Parts: sequence; C-alpha cells; structure tokens
Amino acid sequence: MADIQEQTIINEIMDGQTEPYRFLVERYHRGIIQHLYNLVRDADLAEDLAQEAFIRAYDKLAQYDPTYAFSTWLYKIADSIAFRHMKQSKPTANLEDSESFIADTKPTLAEITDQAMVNEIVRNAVDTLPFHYKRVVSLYYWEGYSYEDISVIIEKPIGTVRTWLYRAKDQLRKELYGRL
Amino acid sequence: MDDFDKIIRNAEQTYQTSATFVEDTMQQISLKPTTPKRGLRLWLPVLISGMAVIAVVIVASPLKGHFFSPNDSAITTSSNNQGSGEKSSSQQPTSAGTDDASLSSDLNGIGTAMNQESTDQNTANGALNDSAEQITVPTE
Repeated sequence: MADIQEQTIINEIMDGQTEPYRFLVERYHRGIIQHLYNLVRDADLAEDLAQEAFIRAYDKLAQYDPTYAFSTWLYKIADSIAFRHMKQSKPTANLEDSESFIADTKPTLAEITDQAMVNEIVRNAVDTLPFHYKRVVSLYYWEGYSYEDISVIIEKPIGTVRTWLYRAKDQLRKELYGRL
Repeated sequence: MDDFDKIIRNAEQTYQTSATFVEDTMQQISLKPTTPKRGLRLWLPVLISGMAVIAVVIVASPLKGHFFSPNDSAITTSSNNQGSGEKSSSQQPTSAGTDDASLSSDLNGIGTAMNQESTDQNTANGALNDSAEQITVPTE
C-alpha cells in the first residue's frame, strides 16, 4: 500500500505542484541508482538511467496504482529502463576479469581471507549471470525485496521469480565453489 | 538464509551517488511544460456508471408499456362506464397501490373521469349561456 505521506505528495503533484516530487527523489534515488549500478556496473550510466526513471515516473504519475508501494512502482520503471538498455546495447564481456576469475591458478574462495576480495569475486560471478537472473539477485539480495514485490517489479509470476533465483544461486554456487 | 545467501548479500558494492543528482533531476522535471494530469483513472468509473444508468433506462422504457398493456382494456371499460354514469357491477375494482401497473391504471381512470367532468362542465356552461340569452329581455 502507498505511504500516506507519499500519497499526499502525489496528490499535490497531480494538482499542479512540482516541488513536492523532490521528496520522492531524495528518498529513493540511492536505492534506484544502486540497483541500476548492480545491473550495468557503470556509475555514470546508472545515474543517467536513474534520472530517466524518475522523469518517466513523474510523467506517468497519473497511472500509479496506490495498491502498491510507490517504491515498488518506481523500481519497476527503473528495472524496465535497464532491461531495455541491456537489450539495445551489446555488453561485451570483460575478458580480463573473466580470465582472472576462471583460471585455476588463482586462489580459491576458501583460501582468500580478504573479505573485500571475496566480495569482488562474488560480484564478478553475478556479472556473468544472464540479465534476468542478475536483476532478481540484485532485487532480492541487495535491495531486500520480497518475492511478491520482485514479481510486481519485473512483471513475472512469483513462481518465475523463485525459479530464477534458484537457478541464479545454483549457477553462482557452481562458479564459486568450483574453485574450492 | 544459508551461508551462501549471506556471502552474496555481503558482496553488494555500495555506490556513492553524486551530490547533485537530486538537483539535476528536479531541474529536468521543472523544464517540463505541464504537470501530470489525472487521467481516465478518475473519470472512467464515472463514465461507466453513467452509461450503465442510461442503458437501464433505455431497456426499461419499452417494457413499461408491456407491463401496463393488460390493464388497458380494463381502463377503457372503466372510462366507458364512468362516461355513461353507471358502474358495471360485474367489473371488479382494481386494487390500487399493489403495483405500478395498478397505480397507473387508477391514475388513467381518474384522468378520464376528470376529462369527462370537464366536458360535462363545458356542456353545462353552454346551457347556462343559452339560458342567459333567452332570459335577457330586450329593452324597449
């Protein structure tokens, strides 16, 4: 359900005021940018896409359904923008990272004591996932959304969300623990 | 959440957003010529309700004559009897107020009776006028 304060702000915007939208931008811009960064792994691109998401959300505010939380609707817009961007662009694999990740001579996860290095290896592994797996991993593990909310954001059934998360985890496990 | 879930969760790289993002975004929005308008979401239910009411009225209006048609003969009979000043003893009085059809037939009967009274009154007035003309004595 929509937050009462947010619903009041949305009503003010619909009545012709622009400035109240700043409250929504300030509240959600970090999470949106973070999610987009998890997907595109480019800081400048993430901010550009996030700005596009906020502008599109503003334009389509009349279509917002208060049954859902505003953040869920906003993430849905941002996620669709990222998905469209990924379809239009042809991301090239970072060969250097891939090679350092796959090579057997590199230390295994069990041998790495530096948590920062572990995190980087895991992130690189997530980057190798297909886009639709990557987005559910980002939304579930890093943005903290439930299966139901993710289902709304990516417009897929809950069963599909669970399946994709399971397969993503399985693929990550093979990639990471295969190095053990 | 198992240990592997925690490993994935901890791997999130926090990205530091630029300090001017909010301001830049609001500037882009302020350049827009119009604000978002309330769309069909508000008006569509009203429109659908209105159309439904109109549809009910249109459908119900032809049926009105159909429901009242069995009583037309009774009304005609009643008005004929009233015009002749006699009441048919065999005619059973309609129970007024039981339904709309009965009420309507009663009203029609009253209207017919009033018309008849008006006609009688006109006839009486005409008779009086004639009498008045006869009574008037020309002055010599």
